[in-house]
Amino acid sequence: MIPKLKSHPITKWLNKNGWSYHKHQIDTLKEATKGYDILLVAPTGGGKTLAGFMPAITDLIEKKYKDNFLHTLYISPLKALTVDVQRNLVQPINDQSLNISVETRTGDTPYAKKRRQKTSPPQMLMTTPESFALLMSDENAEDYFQNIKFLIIDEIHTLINSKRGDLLSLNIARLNELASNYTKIGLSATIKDKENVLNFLSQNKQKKIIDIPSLNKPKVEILMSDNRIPWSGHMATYSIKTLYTKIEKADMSIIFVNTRAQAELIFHNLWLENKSNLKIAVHHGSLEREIRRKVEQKMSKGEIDCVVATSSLDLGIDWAKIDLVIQVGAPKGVSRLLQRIGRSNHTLNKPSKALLVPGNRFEYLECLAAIEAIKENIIDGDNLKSGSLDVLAQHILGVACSNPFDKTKLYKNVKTAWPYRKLLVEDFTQTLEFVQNGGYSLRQYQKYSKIGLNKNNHFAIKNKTVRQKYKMNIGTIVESYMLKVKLRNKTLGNIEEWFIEGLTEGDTFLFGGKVLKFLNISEKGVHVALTKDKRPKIPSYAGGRMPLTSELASQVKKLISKKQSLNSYPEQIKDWLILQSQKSILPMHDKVLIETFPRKMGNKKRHFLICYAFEGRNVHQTLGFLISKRMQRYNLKPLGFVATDYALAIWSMKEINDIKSLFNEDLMISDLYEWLDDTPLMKKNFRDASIISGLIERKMPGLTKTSKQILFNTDLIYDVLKKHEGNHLLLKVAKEDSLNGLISIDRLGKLMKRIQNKILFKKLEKISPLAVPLLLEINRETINKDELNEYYLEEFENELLREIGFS
Amino acid sequence: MKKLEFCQNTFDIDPHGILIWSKLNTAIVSDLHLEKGSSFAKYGQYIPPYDSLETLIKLEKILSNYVIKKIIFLGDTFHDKNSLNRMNIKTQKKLKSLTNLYEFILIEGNHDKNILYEIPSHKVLRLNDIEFIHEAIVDDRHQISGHYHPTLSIKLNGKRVTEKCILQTESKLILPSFGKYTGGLSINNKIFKPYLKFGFNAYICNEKNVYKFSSSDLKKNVK
Repeated sequence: MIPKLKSHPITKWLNKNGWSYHKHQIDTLKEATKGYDILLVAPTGGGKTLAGFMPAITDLIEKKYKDNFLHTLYISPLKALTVDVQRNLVQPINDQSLNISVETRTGDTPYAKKRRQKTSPPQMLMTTPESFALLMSDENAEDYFQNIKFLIIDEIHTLINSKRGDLLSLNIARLNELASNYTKIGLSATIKDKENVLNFLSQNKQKKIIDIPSLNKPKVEILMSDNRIPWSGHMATYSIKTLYTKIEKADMSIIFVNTRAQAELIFHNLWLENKSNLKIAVHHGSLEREIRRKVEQKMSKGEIDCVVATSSLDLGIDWAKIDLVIQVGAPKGVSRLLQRIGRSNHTLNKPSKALLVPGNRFEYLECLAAIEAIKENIIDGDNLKSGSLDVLAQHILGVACSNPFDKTKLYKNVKTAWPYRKLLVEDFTQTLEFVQNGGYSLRQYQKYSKIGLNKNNHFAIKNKTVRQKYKMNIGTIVESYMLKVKLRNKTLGNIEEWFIEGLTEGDTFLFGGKVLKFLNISEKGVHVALTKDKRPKIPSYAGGRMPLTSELASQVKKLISKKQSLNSYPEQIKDWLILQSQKSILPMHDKVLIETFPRKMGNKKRHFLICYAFEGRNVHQTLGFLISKRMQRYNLKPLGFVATDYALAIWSMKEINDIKSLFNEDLMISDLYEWLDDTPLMKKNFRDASIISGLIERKMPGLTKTSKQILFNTDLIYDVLKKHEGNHLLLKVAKEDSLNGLISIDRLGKLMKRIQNKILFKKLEKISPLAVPLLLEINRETINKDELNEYYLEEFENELLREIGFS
Repeated sequence: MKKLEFCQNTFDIDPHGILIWSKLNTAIVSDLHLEKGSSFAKYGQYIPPYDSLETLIKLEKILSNYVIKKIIFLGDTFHDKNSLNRMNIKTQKKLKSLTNLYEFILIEGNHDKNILYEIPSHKVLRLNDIEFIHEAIVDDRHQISGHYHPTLSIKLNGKRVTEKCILQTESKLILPSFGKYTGGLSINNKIFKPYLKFGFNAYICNEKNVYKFSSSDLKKNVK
C-alpha cells in the first residue's frame, strides 16, 4: 500500500517552508513500503537523510503503535553527525506535533540517560557502529531489538571495507536473527561498486538501489599563482598570496589539505598574510575535541571566514554557507575530492565551486587528471577486503556477553555477514579458541578462560567481569601512540610520540596554529611554551599521507601521454613536458617508462633507474624494496631508493643493463615476507590487532614508559609469538592487514603482470626533465636534516635544471 | 670486554646487562620476572606464555661464554608468589637444569620471597664488603641492586634511542632488568634523584655492545 502523501505531515511541513519532495524521497518511501531494502545513492546534499527517514516516520504515523519500543535505529560513522541529524529531524516532528521521540546515544551520552534509554527506549535512536555493538552485547539485547522496524545506515560507503564495517556487518547479521522483519536503508555518496554496498547492507531477496546521478557537475579549476609551481615538495606555500585573495573574496571558504602538517603550515602562513583580519581557523584530528567543536559551532553560525581542515571535516555536517572549497595539494582520489567539493553549496540544484592548488608539477598534472575524471564520471573503486579475524574475535566475545551461543549456529550466522561470507570453519574455530584462552598450542590458560561451555553445550562468559571489561574495550579504531600537548595546565591536543622523540629542548614547531617551544616530556604529556618566533625550527610533521587511487593514477598517465593537449597547459608545465619528449620520451598510457642515467651524487658517480609506474607511493615503495633485493643478487650494489606517488627511483654503484630480468614477474615473495616481518608497519598492525581482538586492553598508550608497571609492549609479544607460535591468529591478521593495506600487494601484483613486455626503456646520458622532481625528493630524504636548508635545495635544483637544459 | 671497578673489585660487563665477577666465578643478574606473561591470564589477558622459557634459554646461552659457578639473582626473579604454579613443564625443566648447573643465590624482591622451595632467599647478602640487595638504600654503603630497571635515552643521528643500562654511583651499582617482558625506567626519572647527588656513570647495554657515559657526557647529550 502506498501511503497518501497529500495529507502527510512531512508534506505540510515542506510546503510551509516553501519546499517540495525530491523524486528519490518519494521513491524511497514507495519501495520501502513495498518491503524492499534500499540503498540510496546520491551526491551530497539533496535531502538524502529525509529520504532515509520518510518510511520510518510514515510507519510510525500510520500504525500508531501503542507499545513503547525501539522502532528505528540510525547508525552514522560520526558522533557529530548523529547529533546533527537528530536536530534536523526534530524540526518537522515538533512543527507537526508528531508524537515521535528521537534521541542520540554515543560515547558522549551521560550515563543516566544511557540507562534510561535501556529501560525506556526512544522510538528513534541515533548512534554509531561502536555504540550499536555495545547495545548488542547487552544481556537484554534480544528484548531491546526484537520489534525494530527500520535500520538506517548513513554514509555507508565510508564504513564498508574497513574494520568498522566488519564489526557493523557482524552486528547486522546478529540483528537479523533477533528481529525478523525490519527494513534496511543505506545512504551513500556516489560510489563505483553499488552492488557490493547493497549486499553489505542486506541479504534479503527484495532489495533495490535508488541512484540519483548528480545533475550539476561541480565547477573545478586549478588556482594559478603568480609564483612558479615548485619542482618538488607538497606544501604549496608558494600560492599563499593568491590563495589569500581568493578567500578574501569568498563569503565563507574551507581549505582542505592532505596532512596535519600542511594544515598547520597553510594556516600559519595565511595568518602572516592576514591584512584584512579575516577570521581563519584550523581543524584537524589532533586538536583537542573542545577546540574542534568550537570551530564547528562558529562555522555553523557563520562567524568564521575560512577554515583550514584535514579529512576531519570530510564527512557529514551541512554547512550551507560555504561558497568556496579549496583543495591544497593533490586530491589523491576522485571520490574524496567530490566529497570535499560537496561541502559547498549544499543543495542539488546549484553546482559546487572548487579550486585546486597543486603543490608541485606532478601534482598539477594530478589536479588536471582529477578534473578530467570528474567530467568523465570516473569514480574510484574500493579494494575489497574480507572480514578481519580480530574483529570477529571481538564480536564472538560480545555475543557471549549477550547470550550463550551454539558454535555451529554462530558460525552460520557470521557467514551471513557480507565480509565474512567466505569465512572458513577452521578460521572461525581458531578465532573462537583465541577468545577462549589465547589460542596457544600450550594449553596453559585453560583454567582462566573467558568463555566456556555451559551445561547446554553453549559458550557462555565465565563471570560478569568479562562483560564489564569487554564493554571498556569495544571498537575497531586504535589510536596511534599519542602524547598530550600541554601548555601549562591546558591541553592543546595530541601529537605523535615519534615526532616528539626527534625533538631537543628548545626546538620550535607548529601546532594548533601556534609556534610552540618544546620543553620536556613527563607522565602528563609534552610540555611546551609559547614563543615569539615566527618561523618554527622543525618545519613540519608528516602523518596521514593518502595513497593515490589507481583510477586517478591511470588518469594522470593518460593525460601525460596525450601530446595534443600539451598546449592547453600553463607555460611552465608545457615546457617541462616538451623538454621531456625531446630529451627522453613521455610516458605512454599502456606502457611503463623506465629511464637509466649516470649522475654524480656527492662526489661519486652513481647510476640511477627511474620507473614511472604511476601506482602510488606504497606500491612503489614495495617495488623498490623487491627490485633492490634483486639488484643485490645481481651484484649491482644498490644504494637506496625513493618512492613517490608517480615513480620509483633507485640508485646503485654499478650500471644496470638487463632491465627485463630485473622486472621479471616472478617476484621474490619470500623476500617480501621476510622484509615485512621487521617493518614498523607489521608491528603497528600487530598492535592494533592485539587491541581489537582483546589480547591487551585499551589504555592510554604512550604514557606508559614512565611507569615501572609497564603495560605490555606489543613489540615484545610480537617477537615471542613469531618465534614460538608462527601460525597464531594475530600474526595472520597483522600479515593480512599489512599486505592488503599500505603495501597494496594486489596492485603490485597487477603492475608486475602488466609490466611484462611493456617496458619502455630509455638509456640516457643525463638526467631527464621528468626525473628532476625525484632527484630533489632523494635529496630531501637522504640528506641529514641539519644540512637541509632552503638554500641548499635551491642550489641543487638549479644544478639539475642546468643539466636538463632548462634555463 | 668492558670492565668496571666498584668497591675495589673488578667486574666484566656483559652487553646483556649482566655482571661477571671472575674472581668469585659468579654472575650477577637482576629482575627476571619469570611468569610475568602468565600473571595476566586471570584478568583475561592471554599474553603468550613463552617469556620465561625465552629468558632462561637466553641466560643459559650467555653464561655458557663464561667460567662461572654461581649466579646471584638480585630479586624479582619470579614475577609473583604463584609464578612456579603457573610455569609450564618445559620451562620448569629448563629451570631445573640451570639449578643443577649453577649454584643459585637468590635475593628476595618485593614479590618473590622463598619461591624455590629448596633454595631460601636472602634479604641482604654481604660479600667482599659489598651488599647484594633488591632495592638500594640511599646511604654510603656499597650495594649492588636491581629493582628500578634503569634505562638511558640518548640521541643518535637525530633519533632518540632508549636502551637498558647499568647505573654506577659512588656507592651503588643498579642493574637493568633481564626478563623478556620487562620494561624500563629512564634514569632521568625523579625516582633516581636521591641516588644521583654526585656524578655517575651509565653503561648502555644493547645486547651487542657496552657504551660508557659519564654524567658530564650526558649533560651535553640528553635532555
